[in-house]
Amino acid sequence: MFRNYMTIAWRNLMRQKGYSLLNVLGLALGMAVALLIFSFVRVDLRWDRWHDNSDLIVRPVELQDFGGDERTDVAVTMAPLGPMLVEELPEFETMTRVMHGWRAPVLMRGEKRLYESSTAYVDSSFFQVFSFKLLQGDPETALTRRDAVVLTEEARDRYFEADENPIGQILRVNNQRDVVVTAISEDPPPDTHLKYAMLFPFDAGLDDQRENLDDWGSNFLATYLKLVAPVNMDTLASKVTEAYHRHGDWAELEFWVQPLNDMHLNSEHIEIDINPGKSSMNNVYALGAVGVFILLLACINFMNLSTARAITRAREVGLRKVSGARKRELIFQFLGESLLVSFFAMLLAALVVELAGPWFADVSGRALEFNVFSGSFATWMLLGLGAAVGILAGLYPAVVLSSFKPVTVLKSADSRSTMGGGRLRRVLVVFQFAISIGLIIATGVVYAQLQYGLTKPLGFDKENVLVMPIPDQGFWDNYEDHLNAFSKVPGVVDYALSSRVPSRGGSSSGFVPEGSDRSRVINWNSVSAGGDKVFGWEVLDGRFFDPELTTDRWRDGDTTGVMLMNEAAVRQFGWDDPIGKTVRGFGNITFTVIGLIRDYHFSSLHTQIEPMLLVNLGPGFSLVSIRYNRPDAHAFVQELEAVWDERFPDRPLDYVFLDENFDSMFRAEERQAHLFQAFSIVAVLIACLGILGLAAFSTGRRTREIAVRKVLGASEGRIFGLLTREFAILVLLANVIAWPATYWLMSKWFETFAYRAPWPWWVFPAAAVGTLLLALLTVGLQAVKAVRLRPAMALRYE
Amino acid sequence: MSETMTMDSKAGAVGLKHDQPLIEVIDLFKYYANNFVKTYVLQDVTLGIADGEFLSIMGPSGAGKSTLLHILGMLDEANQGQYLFLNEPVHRFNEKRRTALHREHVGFIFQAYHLIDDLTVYENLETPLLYKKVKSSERKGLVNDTLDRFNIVAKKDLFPHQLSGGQQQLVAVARALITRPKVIFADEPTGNLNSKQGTEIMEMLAQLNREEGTTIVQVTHDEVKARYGHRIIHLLDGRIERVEVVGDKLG
Ligand SMILES: Nc1ncnc2c1ncn2[C@@H]1O[C@H](COP(=O)(O)OP(=O)(O)OP(=O)(O)O)[C@@H](O)[C@H]1O
Ligand SMILES: [Mg+2]
Repeated sequence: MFRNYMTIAWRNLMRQKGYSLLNVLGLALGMAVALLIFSFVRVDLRWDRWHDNSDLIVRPVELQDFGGDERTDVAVTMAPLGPMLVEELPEFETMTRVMHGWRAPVLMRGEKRLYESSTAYVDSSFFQVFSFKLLQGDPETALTRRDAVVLTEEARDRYFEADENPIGQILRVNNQRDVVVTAISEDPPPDTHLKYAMLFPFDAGLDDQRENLDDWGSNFLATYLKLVAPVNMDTLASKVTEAYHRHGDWAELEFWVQPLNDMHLNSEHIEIDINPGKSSMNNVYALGAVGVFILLLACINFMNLSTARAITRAREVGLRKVSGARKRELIFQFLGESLLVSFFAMLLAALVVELAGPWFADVSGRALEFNVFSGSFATWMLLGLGAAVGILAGLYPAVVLSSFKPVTVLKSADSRSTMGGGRLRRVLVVFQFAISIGLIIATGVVYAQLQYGLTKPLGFDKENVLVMPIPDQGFWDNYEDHLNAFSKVPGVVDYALSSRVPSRGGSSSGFVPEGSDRSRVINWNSVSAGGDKVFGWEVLDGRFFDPELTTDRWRDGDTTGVMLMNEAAVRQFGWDDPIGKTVRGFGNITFTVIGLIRDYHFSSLHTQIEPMLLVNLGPGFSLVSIRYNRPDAHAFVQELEAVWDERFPDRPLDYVFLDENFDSMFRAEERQAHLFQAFSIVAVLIACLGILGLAAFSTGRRTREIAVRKVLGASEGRIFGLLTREFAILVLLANVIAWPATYWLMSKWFETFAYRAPWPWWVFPAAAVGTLLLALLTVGLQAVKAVRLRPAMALRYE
Repeated sequence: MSETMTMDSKAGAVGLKHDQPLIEVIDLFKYYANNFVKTYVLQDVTLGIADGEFLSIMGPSGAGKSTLLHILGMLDEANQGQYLFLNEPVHRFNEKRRTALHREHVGFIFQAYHLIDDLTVYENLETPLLYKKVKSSERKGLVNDTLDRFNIVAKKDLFPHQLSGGQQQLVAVARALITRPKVIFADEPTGNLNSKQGTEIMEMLAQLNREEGTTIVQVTHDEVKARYGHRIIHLLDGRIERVEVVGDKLG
């Protein structure tokens, strides 16, 4: 029986190669895209969950709630919090702090000297909390000695040959101290927020900041705790808050506890967060929906073409019933056929995924590997999709076909006229195009916002600024001389020192404004005189730091200093005129406000511009930023490098351009835009394949009618109109449905940005015209073929 | 109980006196409702068919011959009246049971030799056996026997469109009887064939009736071919106008 079904299925496919090809192509495309998307989403859903006991790992998050809109979630904590919590609360078993280096150290071994930009200082229990595997070394003791270093495989390969045993070998850090390799860890997988190339013991990171170790007032590291057993998070949060208040003195501060499993998808509202690659549940839903939609589009094609073709199978159904077929057997037969088609589509989809996988990994920014042919997730997913699509898309045609009555289909020679299903088909075509149009509009909107972000006046000038880190040693002894030498390089307009660049926000600490006893956590950046010219900040009132006034620069031991602030800070403090007012911070230093600068964007456009304080702290600088005015940036860098190498032969010059640095903030949005673009192209393609099939089918059926009309004298134009009009109407109807729905959805999306592009209205008519033209082109090709046919041919063979 | 009595007496009224009745229909009505007007296609049809009988149905175009044959062959339902097949009340059966009964006992031959286009002659013959779940080895034997008997062994791997009309009809007949049904319904089985081919098919059916006792019910427009039957039912406007007994054959 099975062979009988497969024989007929195969012969049917071969007899109608055109339809079969459309069916298989559309389905394959849909399955491939769905697989890509689902694989992508799967990474998000499993992010960091691969740690053993990932459900027992939590992190404390500070909540600074000033009522109203002024709620700030901060996921970096003070250093003493973690050890204190393990000490005082029995719920916690152990903890590890993770502090990322502020400056990239230079590591040396023999001739090799390299900046290591991905280092972290962690407690020795790091490997008890997290499940990164050690290929060599003992997780218990790897980080116990102060001069230890743990390398990842990738970092190891930078310093050691394949046949060397790195354990016990020495690396030199910043040409200052030696460290011993104690362990080799696997490279952190792509799906974790904890990325590192080298781990140092926590102690080693605090050389120049030992005072911070016991400072309850300064947030600068991430703390992770491991629970003994699952507990209620709310209860735990209040215990953590209580414990904090036994030591720290920010009255308003409250804590909540976030499970590691929530970190990736549920942290959008956390403003200060060391959580690279974080996404959101909304993103997951949006992408998942796009995947399901595209799969649905392909299934609809399949259903439409199969039911349309059912008419030509009616006689077979009648005959089989007369030969004794049960309805169930016929359903199985047609389901089998659709499974056969989806099986071919599956094979093709596997091929598409193999070919498009690397491209997708690139566009999506995820190291996704598919390995469709090796029993991976992709294999099973594809098999599942194949079966599900075959059954879902085949069920309706199967039921329709198997319910034909033999007398009805066999009695009349022209059984075709009696078959229905046309209305459903039209509804589905409208649905397909509505989805395609929606995706096109969404793409336009996403691009408009991206463009807006890239071109919006930011409140600072990111062009023509080069930023380089200050070397740890040999700089401060003679810094005026070094800076002087750099400024002599042709093209240098101005230079400034700072702790952070404008596009990277700042550190945050507690500050108490004049007339208040309430401390609040505010971003700050330490900048030297000249910063206004280098970064292009606009001073609205007062003045910037003056290089001539020694009192403008704070030095160790001073109890007073000066600062500037942005408009947002003035608003938060509730002041009219900030000049001359004072703010207390960094322990007990009183800063007098000397200037007001215009708000500038220092983080993504998703968030409102927050308060920002500019101070001028001698010890806090880590970067030199240089504004230049030469078009030949490359030659400029080379000349700068020559000066650098002369003065700092130990370390290579490391630099970034501020605009690149800033644009990288938009990389996530850029990716989103590219993905949407790719998906809407696929959706439109699938929808067009669908109407191509239907158009071919319906013009095929109307060949005789067309011939008769031509004999009666209808012009080719009229016949063309007759054939294309129906589809044009369907596409227009799809627009009517898609417009308001997409408008509503994308308005929601816009709301996630604090700074929004104006609605790009033009995308609506553009999507309409685009889809209409494509549909007409698709249908038109068929119509032209039909129109060209000589009537005699059609009439003779019908 | 009383139903059976009535049925017997009615059956007697159309003149069937011998053998066991295979099919009995009583007061059959069939109509199509169009725009709330009922058009009757069959009216008050009462008929008995004996096991082993060869029955012909004649009548002008539109008289309802095909309709009656479809109902008798369990491909269609009457609107009113009783239908007993081997004493089973088919008119009370749902579609599933009717299909089961059909599969078990009925072979059907259409005027337009309907074969499944995508299957070869061999596969076309095999299909009813597959649905009857006949075992593979037995199936092979049956198909080969039938090919033999109908002299179409050479054609077994051809597709329907590679055969002449007569050959196609031959395959259709072969397919109808491959499951050894109790009764074969044939709707103008020779209508589209030339007279030589037509005669061959008729001889085939007559032989089947004679030698294997298969009951045959055929619809025909041809007076000569109608006389292959034991009786001829004349239909007019959906009613049985008269029953003609073909003299030398009955009894
Ligand atoms: N689906 C239908 N709807 C309405 N009327 C129908 C339908 N099918 C058949 N009829 C009518 O029923 C009547 C009987 O049709 P039937 O096919 O039984 O005639 P017939 O005797 O077999 O004629 P012919 O010799 O031409 O084959 C006809 O008048 C036909 O118009
Ligand atoms: Mg007829």
